[in-house]
Amino acid sequence: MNLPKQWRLKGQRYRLEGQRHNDGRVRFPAQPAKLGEAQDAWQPYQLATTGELFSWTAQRSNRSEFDHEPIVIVGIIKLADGCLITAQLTDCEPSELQIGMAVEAVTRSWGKVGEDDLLVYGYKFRPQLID
Amino acid sequence: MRQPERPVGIVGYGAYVPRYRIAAQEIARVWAASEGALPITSKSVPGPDEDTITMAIEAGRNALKRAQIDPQQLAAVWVGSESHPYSVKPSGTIVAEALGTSRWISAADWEFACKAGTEALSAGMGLVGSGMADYVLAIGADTAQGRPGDALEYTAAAAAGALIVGPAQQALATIEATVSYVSDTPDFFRRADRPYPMHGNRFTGEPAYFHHVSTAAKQLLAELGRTAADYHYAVFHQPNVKFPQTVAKQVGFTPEQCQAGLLAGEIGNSYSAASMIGLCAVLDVAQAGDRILLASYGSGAGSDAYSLVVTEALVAARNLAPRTSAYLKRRQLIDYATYAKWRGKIVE
Amino acid sequence: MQQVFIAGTACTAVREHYDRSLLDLALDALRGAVGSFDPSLIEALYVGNALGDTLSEQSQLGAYIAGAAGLNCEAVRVEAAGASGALALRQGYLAIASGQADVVVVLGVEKATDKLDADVQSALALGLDGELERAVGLTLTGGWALLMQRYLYQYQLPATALAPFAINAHANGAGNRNALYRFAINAQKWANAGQIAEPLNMLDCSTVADGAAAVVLVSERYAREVAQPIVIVGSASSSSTVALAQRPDLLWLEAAATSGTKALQQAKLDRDAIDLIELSDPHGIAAALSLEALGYAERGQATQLAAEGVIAKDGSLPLATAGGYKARGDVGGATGVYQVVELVAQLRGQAGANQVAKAKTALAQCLGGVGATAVTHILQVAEV
Repeated sequence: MNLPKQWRLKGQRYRLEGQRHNDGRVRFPAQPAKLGEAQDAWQPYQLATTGELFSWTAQRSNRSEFDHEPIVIVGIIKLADGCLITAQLTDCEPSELQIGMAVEAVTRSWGKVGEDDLLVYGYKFRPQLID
Repeated sequence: MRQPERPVGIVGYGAYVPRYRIAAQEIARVWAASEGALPITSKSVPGPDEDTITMAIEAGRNALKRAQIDPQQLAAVWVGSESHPYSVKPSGTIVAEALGTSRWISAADWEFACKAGTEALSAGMGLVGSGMADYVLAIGADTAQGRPGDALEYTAAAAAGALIVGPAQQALATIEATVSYVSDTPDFFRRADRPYPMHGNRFTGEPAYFHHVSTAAKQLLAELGRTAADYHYAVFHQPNVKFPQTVAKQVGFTPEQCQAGLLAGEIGNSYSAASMIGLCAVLDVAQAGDRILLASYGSGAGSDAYSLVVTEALVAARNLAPRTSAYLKRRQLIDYATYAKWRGKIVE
Repeated sequence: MQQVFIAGTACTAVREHYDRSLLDLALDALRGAVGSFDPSLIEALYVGNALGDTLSEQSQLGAYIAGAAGLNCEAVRVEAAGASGALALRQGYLAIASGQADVVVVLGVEKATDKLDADVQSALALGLDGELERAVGLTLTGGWALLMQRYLYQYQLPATALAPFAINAHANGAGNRNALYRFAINAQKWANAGQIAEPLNMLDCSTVADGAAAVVLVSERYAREVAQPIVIVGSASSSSTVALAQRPDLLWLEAAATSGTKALQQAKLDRDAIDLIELSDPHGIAAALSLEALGYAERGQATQLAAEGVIAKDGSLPLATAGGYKARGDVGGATGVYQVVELVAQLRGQAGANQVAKAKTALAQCLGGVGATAVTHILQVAEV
C-alpha cells in the first residue's frame, strides 16, 4: 500500500491543481520545470471544471483493479481553458457519448488500495447536468 | 428555544442526488411484497463510484457557489452521516480538502442516525452565533443500507444536503430559532460490526418518529408564539411519504405547505440528507419573506426543529448552482441485480 | 563507425506456451540464432523484455538469461514497453558500430501467459502514464482506442475503414507457421466482431502471447563468414510524452516520425526505396498513424493504402508479411526482434509462402506504449 503517494497526489486529484505559464498556457498536473525552462515560469493554477469530450473509449476488458465493472469509460476532455485531461467518465452509458458534448468534473471514488482499503478519490467527468 | 446572540442564517445551500433509481416495484418483484403497501415510488441509488464523501463534496460545492464565498473563509466542515466510508478516519478532512478550505478549520463527522446533518447545523449556529466564526459548512449525507428483503430496503436511499451557516445580514434565509428534543428510544440501530441496521417496525412510528418530531415542532411554534398558518412551507424528515404527511397534520400543516419539500416519493429516505435536501428544494422555489419550518428526526431518538425566514438575496443566489429538481430529473432506473451488485449485496 | 551485420536469427512460434518458462523460450531462440557460431566469441547480450518483473516475477534478466546460456559477458535488459526488443537491438547495434564489440546477441523475450488476462492488462498498462492514465483505469488498448475514436471523428471515417489492416495481417499470418493465428478473416467477420474497447473490436485487437526471438550481430570482420549477411543501414530511436493528453497533437506519433526520418537519413534512402515494412500494428489505427508518421500517407489518408492493396504482399509496400501483431501475435517486448527476424527471412528469400518478390531493403519500426518510444531499423541485403 502506497499511502504517501496517494496522499501526495490529492491536490491534483481532488482539485485539478495544474499550472499556468506566464504566456497563458495551461498544463496538468503540476510538474517540475522542463530543462531549459525558468523555474518560476509556471504558477499554480486550478483547472477549469467544465469542458467538452475530445475522445472516448468504452473498455470491456479491464485490468484487475477495475475488473468488477463490465465497462470502464475513459475519455480525453478538452477543458474550457484549453487543457486536455484523461479521465474516467461517469453517470453515463457509451450510447450517450459524442465527441464535443459538454462535460463537467466531479469527485468520485477511484477505488481502494491495499488489504485494509485505503479509499482513493479523484476527478471524473460526467455529462453536464441540465438544470 | 435557542437563539444565537449574533443573528445567523443560511448563506448557501446545495443538494446532491445520485443519477440512479430503483423502483419499489422492482424490489417488490424480487421479494414478493404486496404492491398496495409500497411506501415510495422509487429510491435513489448511489453509483458504484459514489459514497457519503463524494456526495458531500458535490453538495458542498453547490453550497459554496450559492454562498459566493471563498472556501478559505469556512471555519468548519462538518459531515453528518450514518454511512461514513471509514469507521475511523474523518470524512470531513477529505471533503474539506476537496473543497479547498483552509487547513485552520474544524472538521469532524457527526452521528445521530438521520439527524446527524442537522446536529452539525445547530452546532454551526452556535459557532457563528457566538461570533467565534463567520461560516460553517454543515452537511448531511448518506448511502443508507437496508437488509435485502427488509422493509427498509424499499426506502434506504442516497443523497446529500449542504448548508452554510453565516451572519444573518448575508443570509438567503435567516434562522430565527431552534429546539432540540431527544430521548433514549431504541427504534432503529446498528452496531459497528453489523452491515445492516435493526428496524423496530411499527415501534419506529408513534413513540419514536411522531412523538419526537411533533413535540419539537410544536414546542418551537409555541415558544415563537406562532401557528402552522404563519408558515409557507414545512419540511419534515421523510423516511417515506406517509410519515411526514401524518406528522404535518399533527402539527397543523396542510399538504400544500409540505409539497415542495417532500421528495421521499421519488428518491426514498436519504437519512441524514433527507430533511436538508427537502429544505434545499423549498429554497429553490421560495420567495422573500416566506417562513419555513424544518424538523429533522434521528432514530435513537431526537428531532431538531428550526424556523427560517427567506430574504431578498435568495432569488438571485439560487441560480448559481443546480437546483434540486435538476438532480431529480436526471433519473436512470436500474434493475435489482445491478442494485444488489453495486450495493455489495452479492456475496463473493 | 563499423558497419553492423545480422548473422544468425531465430524465433520460437508465438503461442500460449503454458508448458514453457521464460528461460525455456529464451534459450530456444538463442540456440537457434547462435547456431554453430562459437559462443565464446559473444561479447554482450542485450535482452528486450517489457513485462518480466511483473508477469514472470524476475528482474535482472540480462544476467539471469546469460547465466542460463553459459555466457559470462556483459548482459543488459532493455525496457521500453512494446519497444523493448527494438531498443535492445539498437543497443546491440551501437555496441558494434562504436567498435566496442564485434559479436553481440540481441534477444527479445516475453512470457505473458503465466498470469490471467486482467493481470496482463495491468502489466501492459504500466507503459502508460501511471498517475495520469493507468490510475484512472485506462488500458493500453484503451489508449489506442482514444486515438482511433478521435481519428474517425476528425477524418469522418467509419470504423470499418481500419479493417483492411487486420484482414491483411491475417491473410499473411495464414502462411506463417510461427504465427499465433494462422487463418484468414474477411470484412464481414471484422464488422461483426464484439467490442473490446469501443471503437476497437476483437478483430482489431492483437492477442498478447509468449515468444522469444534472437539475432546475432557482428562486425564486418565476422560478416564475411556468414551466408547471406544482412546489413543494418539505419538505426534510430526517439521518444515523445507518455501521457496522451499532454501531447501537442493527439493524432501525430511524433517519436515514430522522428525516428523514421533519422533512420532513413542515416541510410541515405528515400522512403520509396523501402520494399517492405514492419510496424507496431496491434490495431489498425496504430498502423495507420505509423504510416502517416513515416510519410507514406497524408494525415487522415493512411486507410487508403490498406484499402487499395498497397500494403498487401504484392503491393508496393507490403506490411506485416509474417502476420503482424494481429495474426503473428503480440509478443510484447520481444516484438522488435521478431520484426527483424521476419524481415531478414524476406531479404534472404526464405519467407516461404509469404515471400515478397525482389525484397532488397526493409524497414522495421517498433513502438512502446501508445508510441511514446519509437525505434526504427532499416535492413538491406549486404554485399560483402
